[in-house]
Amino acid sequence: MLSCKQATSLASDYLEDELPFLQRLGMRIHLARCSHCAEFLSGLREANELVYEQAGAAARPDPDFLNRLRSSVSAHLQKDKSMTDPLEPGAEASNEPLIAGVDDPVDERVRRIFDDIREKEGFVPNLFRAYAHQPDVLEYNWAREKSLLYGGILDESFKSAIVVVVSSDNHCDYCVHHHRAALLSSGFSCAEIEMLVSDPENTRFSDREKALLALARQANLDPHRPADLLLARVRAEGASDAEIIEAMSVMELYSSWNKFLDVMRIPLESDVC
Amino acid sequence: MLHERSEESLVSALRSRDEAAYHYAVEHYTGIMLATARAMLDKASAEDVVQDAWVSVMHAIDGFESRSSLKSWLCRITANKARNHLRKHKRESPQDDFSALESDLESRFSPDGRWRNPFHGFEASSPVEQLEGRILDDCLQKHLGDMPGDQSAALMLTQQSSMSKEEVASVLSVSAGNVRVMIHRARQRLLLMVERLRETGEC
Repeated sequence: MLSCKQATSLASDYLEDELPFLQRLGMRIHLARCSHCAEFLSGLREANELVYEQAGAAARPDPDFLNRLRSSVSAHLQKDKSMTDPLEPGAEASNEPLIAGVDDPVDERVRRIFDDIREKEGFVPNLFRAYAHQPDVLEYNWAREKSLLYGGILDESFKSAIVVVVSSDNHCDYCVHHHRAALLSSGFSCAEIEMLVSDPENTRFSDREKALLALARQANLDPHRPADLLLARVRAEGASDAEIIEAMSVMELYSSWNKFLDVMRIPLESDVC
Repeated sequence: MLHERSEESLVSALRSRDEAAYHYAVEHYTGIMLATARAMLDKASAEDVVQDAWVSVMHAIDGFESRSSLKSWLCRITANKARNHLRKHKRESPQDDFSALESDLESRFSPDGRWRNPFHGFEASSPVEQLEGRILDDCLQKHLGDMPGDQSAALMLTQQSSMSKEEVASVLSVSAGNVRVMIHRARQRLLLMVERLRETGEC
């Protein structure tokens, strides 16, 4: 025989006809004899109906909101599409770099910069070998990388994470590859790196870093979308102006390199592959 | 036309970045996603979370394996984002209490399991008729908001959609048994709320 307390505990499942036969029978017998529990059950049923209405209302989106969603979805698709449109007739798909990189620089300044790069990175990436055709351009591009990625105030791995996310949104394999490697060597697993791109909120980074990453990511993907909310979140997490500028600059530097690398078809270094 | 499309063809259209398919999906699934988020968040935050979820969907649709239905996958993404939002705003209270009865109700039984302070029904007319609609609505909102997020989400999802307990469980990443308890607990809270509102006029 069920006690009132047991009957009360089973009431919800009984309402939904989810009890096994014997328990169901036990409930029926109990309810036939116990007016308190019968009242409890009908009260539960009524409480339930209240929610029904409430849930229905919550699930009816405002027409304005639906419109906003539709245009946001369309804007994102448009952006994706412009990257995958078929080639114009006459254009040939090729993997050959447009301009070969500088292997053996004669220019003294270029040599010095290459030495500096080698000291920091262990080798001279093909990106800088391409820039080396124009020493001024090489100089300031390397200066940006050196000051942003090897200096600055944000954690180095975190900056590589920004690079991986931004470059993978921009489909630049070259940058993704280099900075994945950087993350792997600082102890990240492949699964964590995947997570970084698919669900960055579930990674080991701090709330402040996740907020900065979300800001940088939207800025790259959708620069015309107002960033006020994301910025408010970044500030609420305690990021300083300097940190915001640094994170945004990493995004800015790599989103421009992404384009340069892809258009120039700069290949990954063979010893890296 | 897109009116009656199979989930399989919809998913493959979404994968190929078909704009009409996205518009159809937005129209079709935003309601249930909103209900998921709304169970944990205020209206404006819920809308932000749903919008954010759609952006993630576009990034992640290639990785969607049809092990769950599209609907529960979308709701799971939404629920995760809503939870993150709560965590960020430090509102989530941990819920590891899976006993079958609310403590307020528990104390109304004597140790032998009999009613000590029985529940006195809502008499003939329903509570909805007895109480002024707006007061009841406000009180209901407040109580749904005060519940642990997962508990109200479990209740809203089961009430609103044709989702099975198993689907709701996969959306909320808990077991189906836990979903049953959450729903039962949520209903008890509402029942006690209506009782108190009727007896004291206070929410």
